[in-house]
Formats: sequence, structure tokens, C-alpha cells
Amino acid sequence: MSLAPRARRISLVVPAGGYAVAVTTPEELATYIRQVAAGSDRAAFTQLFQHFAPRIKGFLQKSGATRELAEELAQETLVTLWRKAAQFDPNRASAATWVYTIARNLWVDEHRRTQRSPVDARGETWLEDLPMAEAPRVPEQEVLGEQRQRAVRTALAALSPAQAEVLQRAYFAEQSQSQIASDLRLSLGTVKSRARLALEHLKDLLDGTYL
Amino acid sequence: MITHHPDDESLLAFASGQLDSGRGLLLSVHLDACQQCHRRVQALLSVGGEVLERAQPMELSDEALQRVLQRIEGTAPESKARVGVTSAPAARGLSRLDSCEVSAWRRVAPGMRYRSVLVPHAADGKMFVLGIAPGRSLPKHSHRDLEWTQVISGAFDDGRARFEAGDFDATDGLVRHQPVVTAEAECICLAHLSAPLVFEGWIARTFGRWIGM
Ligand SMILES: [Zn+2]
Repeated sequence: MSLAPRARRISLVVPAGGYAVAVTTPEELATYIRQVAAGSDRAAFTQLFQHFAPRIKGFLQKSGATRELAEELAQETLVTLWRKAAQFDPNRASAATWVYTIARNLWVDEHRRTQRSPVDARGETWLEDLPMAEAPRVPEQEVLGEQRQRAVRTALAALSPAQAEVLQRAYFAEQSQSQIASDLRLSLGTVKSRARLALEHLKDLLDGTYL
Repeated sequence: MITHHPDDESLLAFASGQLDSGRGLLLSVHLDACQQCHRRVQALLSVGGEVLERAQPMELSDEALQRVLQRIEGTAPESKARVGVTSAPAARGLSRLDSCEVSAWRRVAPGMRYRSVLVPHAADGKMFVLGIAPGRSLPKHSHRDLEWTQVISGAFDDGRARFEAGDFDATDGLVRHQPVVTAEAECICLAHLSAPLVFEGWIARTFGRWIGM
């Protein structure tokens, strides 16, 4: 655990139209989360904030959240990360996937709260909870979260840009397939079959091990 | 052994948070029982993690970090105690319904009972637990839209295939079926309907009215 890079060399990436963000490796991110869990390490937490909060905000805005809501949920995700840091298990999920799951659940909750319903949610329990936080442990089948993440990353890179685009957009909640179709100037049928093909292709690339 | 699973698109919709709360809950019950789908959802969540990593970063307000640091001030992260000591998910059965309002069992016809389930924030559709005695059948029906079923215990055969504990089934408007419970035990299912069933015959229509479909 002492492998944490205390004084890191910070490199910056400035995406077109965006602003500079520090590049942090997946291993560093995982280490920071463990430092938060073990020692309430605020410096490590600040690194996590700087890496994830702007990405979550960008992700949620793409998903149809207003700037204010995206900002609020990005902050909420980081507060949740702090509280639940001990549940992070790098054997089950990479840091990015774990944080994605938290943001996803908060977004789903927010979305549902605004819907009319005869019953109020009780407490703050997530209906679906974090599926991987309570996954059964089966050592012989266990795959390292980071290993899976690398396989997924490689597979995504191998998809055609068009397939990667529709798959990526499938994760932006508010974008219905017809919205995607009009954005990309494609027919709805084309978007549907492209999404299906992308998923099939991804399955082939992951070779049945993960998907 | 589980032989009937949700399709890719349903798992993707789950992983990307796009199922309504009723179907999301039903799928969670399947994932608790099914290692295979559980693993696949983890892979699809990893795709989500990757999409997040690639997302265009948007700058937060100046005081955002300060505000978050204030909120965690003086609180330590929760201890790990709860993690890993929960009962085996497969054995959880219907404990996922703890956050719902579940009625007592109600008998509707000989050998047939149900509990209605009110899911918080459910947008549409109806959810219920259905219990059908050994050898009994559900009245013949078709669907206007979509029915999702997760078998909790027992087994039934609807002429297309046999469904056992842990199996998931989705039927759409094209399927017209009559599930028959096998002789061994009562079959308990969690079912979600996104549109009313269309029952045939007087008894069946009465049954439908009883359970509010
Ligand atoms: Zn399955």
C-alpha cells in the first residue's frame, strides 16, 4: 500500500473545447481509493475528485442532465465514494467502473424520484444496489477487475468508430435511439442494428470470457 | 441449472441504468441467482467505466472541491463490516423486495395465489409474486406488451420450454401461452407486466380482474 506515488509527476491533457485535467493511471486511482478507506486520506481524495468529478459532470450532461444537476450529482458521487470507499474491491471492479456504478445509481435515483409513484422509496437503499459490491465470491472464477477493464478497453478500441459511437451513446441515459439516429443522421433501423452489431462484436472480442 | 437468461439488450439497459424500477428490480433478482449474467453485467458496467473515462470533462464550479471536503469533514469512511458477510445472493430469494410494499398472499382461485408488489418510483407496469399449485395452470393468455418473469422456486412448462428456479423469461405481444406448473411443488414467480394481460374465457377474465390486470 506504500507504493502510492506521493509526489507524482502531473501531466495535463487539454481536450478540444474542454479544460485541462490531470492524467492518472488506473493503478493510481485504485491506490487512492484504498488510501481513503484505510486512512481517511484527504489528499488522495482530492486526487480522486480532480480525476472523476469533471468526467462525471461531462458524462451526466451528455446524458441529459442540466449543468446544475450534473454538478450536484458529481459532488454527490464523490461524497458517496468517500463513505463507501471500504467497499471498493479491485478484484471485482476497476476504480473507473466502481465510480461509474455509483454515479449511475445516483442518476437512476434522481431520475426516478421525479416520477410519480404511489410508494415512496424507503431510506436511501438503492433498489438495485451496487451489484458488484455484494457479488458472490467464487475464487476460481474470479477475474481481476483491472484485468477485465483492460480487456474491455482493448475491445472497445478494436470496434469501428461507428460501432463504438453507438455503444458509447447507449450509456448516455437520456438519449433514446431515435435521438441518436437524428444526431447521427441515420435511420432508426440503422442505429438499432448498429448497436446490436457493436454488442455482438464486443462479445466476440471479449471471447466469451467476460461477456 | 439456469437455462433461460435475459437478452443482451436487457442486460445493457440494466448496466446503463435505463430500466424502470420494476424491471430493474426483477433483473436484480435474476442477477442474484445467476453467476453467468452477473459476470456479463460486470463486463457491461466496465464498458460504462470506460465511457466515463473517455467522457469530455466539464469544469466544476470554483467552490465544488471545498464544498465536498466540508461535507466529508469529520466523517470517516464507513467500515467494511457489511461487505461480504451477507447471505449468499442465490439464497436471498425475494429479500430484494424489502424496499417495496408487498401485500399478504391473496387467493384468487383454487391453487392460485398472489401478492401484489408496489415498487417505489415504478413508472408503469405491475409487479406481483404469483404462487401456483403443483399441476395447476395459469389461464391461457397473451400479452399486449411485455411480461418479465423470474422463477423463484418450483417449475413450469408453457409448451415452449421448461422454466425452473433461477430462470428468466420475457414474453412479448406475439406469445400466447399457458404456463403449467410441474407436479413436484408450488411454483413461485416474480412477474412484471408492462401492459395488461389479455385473458381468454370467463374464469380467466375474472382472474385478471382480481389481480388488477
Ligand atoms: Zn442469467
